[in-house]
Amino acid sequence: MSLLLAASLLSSTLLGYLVATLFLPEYKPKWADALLNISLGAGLGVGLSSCCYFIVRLLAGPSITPYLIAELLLLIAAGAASWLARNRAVMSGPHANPAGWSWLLLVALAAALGIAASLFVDSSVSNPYGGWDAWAFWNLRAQLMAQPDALWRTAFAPALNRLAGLGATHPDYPLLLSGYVAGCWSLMRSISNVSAPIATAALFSFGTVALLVSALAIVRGWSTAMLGGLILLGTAGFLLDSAWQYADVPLGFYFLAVFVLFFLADAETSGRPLVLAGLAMGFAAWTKNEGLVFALLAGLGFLVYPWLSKKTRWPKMLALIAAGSVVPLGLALYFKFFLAPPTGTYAALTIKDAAQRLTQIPRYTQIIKSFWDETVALGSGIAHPAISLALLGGLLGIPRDRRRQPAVIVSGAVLLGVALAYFFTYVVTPLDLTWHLGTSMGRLYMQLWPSVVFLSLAAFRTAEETAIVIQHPQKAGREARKKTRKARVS
Amino acid sequence: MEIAAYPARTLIGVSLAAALSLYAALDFYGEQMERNKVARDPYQIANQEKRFEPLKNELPRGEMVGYVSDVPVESAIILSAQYALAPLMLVVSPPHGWVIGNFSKPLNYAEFGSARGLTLVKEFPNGVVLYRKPTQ
Repeated sequence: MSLLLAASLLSSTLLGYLVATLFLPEYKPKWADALLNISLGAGLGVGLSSCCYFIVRLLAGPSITPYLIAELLLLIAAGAASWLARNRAVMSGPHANPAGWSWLLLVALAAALGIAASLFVDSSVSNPYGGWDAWAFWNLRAQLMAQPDALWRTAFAPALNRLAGLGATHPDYPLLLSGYVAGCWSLMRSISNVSAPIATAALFSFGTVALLVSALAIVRGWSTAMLGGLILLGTAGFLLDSAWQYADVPLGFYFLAVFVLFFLADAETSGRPLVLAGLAMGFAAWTKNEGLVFALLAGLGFLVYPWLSKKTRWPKMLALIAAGSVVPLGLALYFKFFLAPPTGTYAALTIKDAAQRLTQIPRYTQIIKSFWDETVALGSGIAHPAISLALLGGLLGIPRDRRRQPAVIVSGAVLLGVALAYFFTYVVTPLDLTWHLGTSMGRLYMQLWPSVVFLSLAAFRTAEETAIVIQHPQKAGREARKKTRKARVS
Repeated sequence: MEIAAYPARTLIGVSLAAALSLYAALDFYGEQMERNKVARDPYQIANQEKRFEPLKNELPRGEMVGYVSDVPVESAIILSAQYALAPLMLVVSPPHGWVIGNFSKPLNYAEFGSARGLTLVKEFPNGVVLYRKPTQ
């Protein structure tokens, strides 16, 4: 059983890894390049496998054989493409290897990682079915989707809207997470086996940390990378949500992947990483409804960016993003408009109701207070990730040129836009506001937080940039003498 | 040979951020480990899976079934039962008349059912009962 689960996870990760290496250049140092490709590959692979599972079920029926053949063909195609047409450019970034005292940061990160891993295991053992939304929505729909006959369509049946006369279990939610878990269960021939959703949660949680660390190492160097990982692992909400098996950590992974790939594309000329950015954007839309909002705003950001950065090859850029996003985004929209039952929290919202709520000031203050409470809950008193970020921002500052960098401005604007969209979603919500805030704001925070850490640290001056490089007089003299001797010999 | 000297503010910023993050992780670890000890499978999903398994094997897969209970309607109880019973679906009006009884304590299940127009079909262990509602 566990071998089949391992095969399922490895197959999707390998698929994602091959796709990542196809479009990304080789980065220096090698450890960051490998970590980036593996972590990005793990998340993108889940998305690819989930889309493949759903499309095969739609087109060829619920038998496992066509899915296995399709996944195998995808693997062969990705392997061949990666072999023949991979991006062979080599990109050297800032200094991303430890020196002197900065080794200590690696020790601290390893300790934090150990704490997070131990907590994840303990939480998963004590609560193997995850949090409420995991068993009530995501894994329930995975169970239905994994059925080996026509029953798989009950995963988005209108009956889920009013189970035994109760409220909805959201049959309109996109199916990336449920589809992937269902795929694992189908392969394992053990529906509802808790190891599959637990492993998927681990893959996204630790994949997010690895993606953040590797991307910051490539973009900004060693100490920023270590600090990024430490700050994320020092976030209570992230540690808590990691083992809950919800779709919010995967969504946070895809948001982060879009920003990371946008930065990587900004630093090179081929634009190929934008295909992966489009793919991650599409997977965000296939993960949760909030991902559709993100895809819309990120799409707008990608439209503004070439104008802001005065890039002349914008049609090519947009074509690359569209090429990456067309399948998952198209699938998410097709599901929304043609398969999912017409439901959802906001389906019954009228313009009159929304306008009325928009003018109620107490709603705004209640949302701001809840936001503050959730922010405070991210840490433990002064040991708080926001304080750590503020300290670094205050003491290291933001270089002038980076403040004007189009990638920084556009990414920040997209993230702010998504946060504002969430804010106004609460303002107009037809649900009881106190209940709605209490049950969802912490999770929405975790969707955005890894990207907040990445964008903040990518904007700040790095520790290495503040260093004053001096020549050691004795050693410098010795080096000079050596050079002179060599020159004489030659 | 080049040596990098870091300004004090850099060293302070980096050390404080790293130390605070590590402390936050450790502090939350302690809190959550305590919570995990107290709240083990708080919705009793594993228990529900065991309770409903014999009944699940008696009904056609994917059947739409009704639901009755001696405890008031509560999301946690119904949704955990639904998770355990999937791919059976708990609905208000079951098309073939099958109704599942989910009881918190032993009682006269036949009487409970007849008061609601249901005929007892089979009793399972742990307060799980299968009824049938005559179809009109």
